[in-house]
Amino acid sequence: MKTATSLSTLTTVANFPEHFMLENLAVRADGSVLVVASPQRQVWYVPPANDGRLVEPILLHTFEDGQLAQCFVEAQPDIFYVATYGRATLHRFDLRGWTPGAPVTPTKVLDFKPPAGPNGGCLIAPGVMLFSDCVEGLIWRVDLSDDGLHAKAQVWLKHDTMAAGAGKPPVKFSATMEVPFPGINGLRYGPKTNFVYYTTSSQDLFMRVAVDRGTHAPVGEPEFIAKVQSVDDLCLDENGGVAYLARHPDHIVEREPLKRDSAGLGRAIMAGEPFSDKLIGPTSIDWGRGADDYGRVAYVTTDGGTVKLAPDGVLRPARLMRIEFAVAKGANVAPNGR
Amino acid sequence: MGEPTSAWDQLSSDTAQVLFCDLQVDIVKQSKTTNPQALASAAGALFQLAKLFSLPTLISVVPEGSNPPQLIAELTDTAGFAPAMPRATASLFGDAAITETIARSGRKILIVAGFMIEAVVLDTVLDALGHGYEVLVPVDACGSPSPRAEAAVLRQMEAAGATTTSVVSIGTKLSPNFSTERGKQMFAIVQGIMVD
Repeated sequence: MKTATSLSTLTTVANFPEHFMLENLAVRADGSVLVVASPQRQVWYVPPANDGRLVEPILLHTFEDGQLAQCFVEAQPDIFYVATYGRATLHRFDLRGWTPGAPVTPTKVLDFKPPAGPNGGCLIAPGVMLFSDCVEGLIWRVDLSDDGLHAKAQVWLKHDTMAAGAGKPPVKFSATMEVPFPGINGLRYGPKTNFVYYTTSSQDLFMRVAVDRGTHAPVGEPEFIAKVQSVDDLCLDENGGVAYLARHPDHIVEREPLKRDSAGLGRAIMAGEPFSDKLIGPTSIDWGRGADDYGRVAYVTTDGGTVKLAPDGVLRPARLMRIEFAVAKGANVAPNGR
Repeated sequence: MGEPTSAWDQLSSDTAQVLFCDLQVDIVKQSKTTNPQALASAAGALFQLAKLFSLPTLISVVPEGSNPPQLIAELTDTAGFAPAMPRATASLFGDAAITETIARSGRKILIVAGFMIEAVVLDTVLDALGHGYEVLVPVDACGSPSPRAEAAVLRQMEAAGATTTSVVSIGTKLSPNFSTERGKQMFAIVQGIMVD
């Protein structure tokens, strides 16, 4: 089931129940995908979908009451850290040698100090992770112990451009569950440009801040890149000099340059316009892990309209979608460029 | 004994990842410093060690005109273990996809092997050091068309902070006890390296 526009092709990978709030994903090296359903407190495994057919997700874990599953950081090959919101924690999922169907026993490595609200995360150096805090409006730095079983958190950066609320109403997951309108949300590290890029949903901002390679501390003030309406998570294409941003309630994936006034690729709506019933409520985006996927093939979680119904008023299943952007395969590689 | 400081001290199956650079049939055959067959043998042994010790491994290739890159036979049995990633830059760190793949492995020690040592290997090593990685260069899995150039490059890399070593040394550092099952397998791998 594909939907093609001039700039992208959408393929459904897996369906989830209606009202599932798929919040974040991580693509594993073998092409399978981990997905969190936030208010459901669940972590899901989606098998590789190599032939374009729908695949059936497998439930990996359900967190305790009050622990909303928020985001992944892969800190070592197949070792994932999952942050929770509400009772804010960090759990380690060791999937080395794991086979689908086998039980998974996560290890809690950290309790964030309340009222922390981790939302997005990224790895900036071996054993050093950052987490956006959409409640307190800051970025946490989390340092892992050598064995990865313990962690320490400290504030990495707090800035006005990260603040929650900003006059926007709370987000309703259901009739009984709502959260403050998130501040800083998506978080990605660009190892080539050596910037941390972040989005702030409450203020419709796309920002970046430089990182010191030695200390891994922020350098200077955050830089404004662009105003992006209703922005949620993002992924980076540092070869193309652009980011792809999920505009959650607008049902759109948008491309933006990685720096202001860039002469390269410009802003464009890459998926969802004209309206596509395959892209309802995109929340997060991550590149595929195939050798030629970066900058071309991404996976997107959608909420099916849980936060905001599609223009046709129809609620759809939450989904994991594959997006292939209209970039020629290997287009970034010139002939024998040595 | 104090805290480990050098890349060599820190080398273990939990800290290292392996980068193979341009080890393609038509490129490696230009080697004059390391016999091409010996280079391929050492690179193949390093690849087997990476598998044995589950070291994240990346194979970087460059286009060869209109033909698809043809890896040396010793690196072709990847079976999903190591992605072969194309690039068009001198350094692996010039390519964002490769840079991200290296970064997301979470490993601080890079073992860099490839051809030519004065081009892709040197550029990658210097960039890696600039990115804060520690770097090991097994010279038997590297080569150059020029002995003088290779000698100069080795001095330059060492002065910059890289450690030059060999595939056998890496194997025995990863598993110093030959009586364990892993040690026996490691020993069998390094014994099979063709001597230059």
